[in-house]
Amino acid sequence: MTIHEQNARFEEWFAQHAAVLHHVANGFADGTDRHDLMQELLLAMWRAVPAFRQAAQPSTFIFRVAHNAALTWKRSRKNYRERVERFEHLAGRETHVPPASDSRENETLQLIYAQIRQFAPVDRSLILLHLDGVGYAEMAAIHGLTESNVGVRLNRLKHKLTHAMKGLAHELR
Amino acid sequence: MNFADIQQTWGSPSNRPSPAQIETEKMKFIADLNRRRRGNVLFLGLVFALLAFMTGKVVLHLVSPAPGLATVDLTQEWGIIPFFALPWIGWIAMLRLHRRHRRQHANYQGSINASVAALLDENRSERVRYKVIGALLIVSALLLPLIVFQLRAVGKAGNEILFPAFVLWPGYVVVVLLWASSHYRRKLLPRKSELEALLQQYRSG
Repeated sequence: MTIHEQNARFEEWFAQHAAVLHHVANGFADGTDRHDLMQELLLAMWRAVPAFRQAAQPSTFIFRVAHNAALTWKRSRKNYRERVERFEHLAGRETHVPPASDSRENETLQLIYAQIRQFAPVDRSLILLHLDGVGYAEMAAIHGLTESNVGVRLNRLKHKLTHAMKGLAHELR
Repeated sequence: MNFADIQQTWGSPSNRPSPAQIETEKMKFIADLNRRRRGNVLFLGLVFALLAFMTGKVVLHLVSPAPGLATVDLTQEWGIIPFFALPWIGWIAMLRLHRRHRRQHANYQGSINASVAALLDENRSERVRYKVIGALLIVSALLLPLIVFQLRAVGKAGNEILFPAFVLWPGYVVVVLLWASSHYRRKLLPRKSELEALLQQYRSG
């Protein structure tokens, strides 16, 4: 595969699956860390392009690459970011980017993401995959787990997320 | 709010990046990628050039010494053989580590679980690499007195060799070892714990 082919496929995938990367980045990081993780996800996807086999579904492949990159994302970058944020805060610069819209829906979304970020990393990944409509069998293949294990974990996570959101929705009112 | 409500909010247009956001992320990524590429090429090029130059010089001098320069009598100056063998021992050790890793984790792309296990093994290999490099540096510092003794015995060196051999080189070894042990403790061990914890999440069910 030439570099031009790699770039062309990367652009095609990114245009089609940007939402998936957006969900993973928000589900695993917030603030300026989110930007670092997004760049890490893009790099992982670009690097993975030549390894893609036509027999597989691009969406499954992208889910695996993105979630793998997020799960193994190096925390050292976070420490660096924290230092930058502290410095920027001291220097009086605004680093927090407010959401594009302050609608109720947006607020709820931020709460869902915040709640998901509280979960253990593998659980975080499973609930994100489930919300993105990935089936149990596909999730099991992506993570190297059994389908029944995925089912048990997801039932617990759905319950946990719903319960937490009920409490938060109450506070919002 | 029930799970269906959560799913509905999840599927709303607010949870999708705007075309402008996508474009911005892409442009930032391209800039980052170009920066990383330039850095890698520069580093690899410099290391290769330095190694090739040093190896070439030594081999050339052993095979056909330049006129005016003293030849090397290996029966009296054999100390340089183990000294120059050290980088090769390190290189072979690293190649073996790399091959073992590739063999054991050939199917690392099969699942995230397998990828994490492969990353943990990569971390182990890196820790072994640090130990090998540390051991080789210590051996090199211990070998230097022998080389100095041999060079002085054949009259190729005088007192001027004592300072670099007994102060500069051991000092450099100590600095590198201190830096490496700090990196080992501050970066490699926490990463190991992080990956082990992640693997544990797969095993705990």
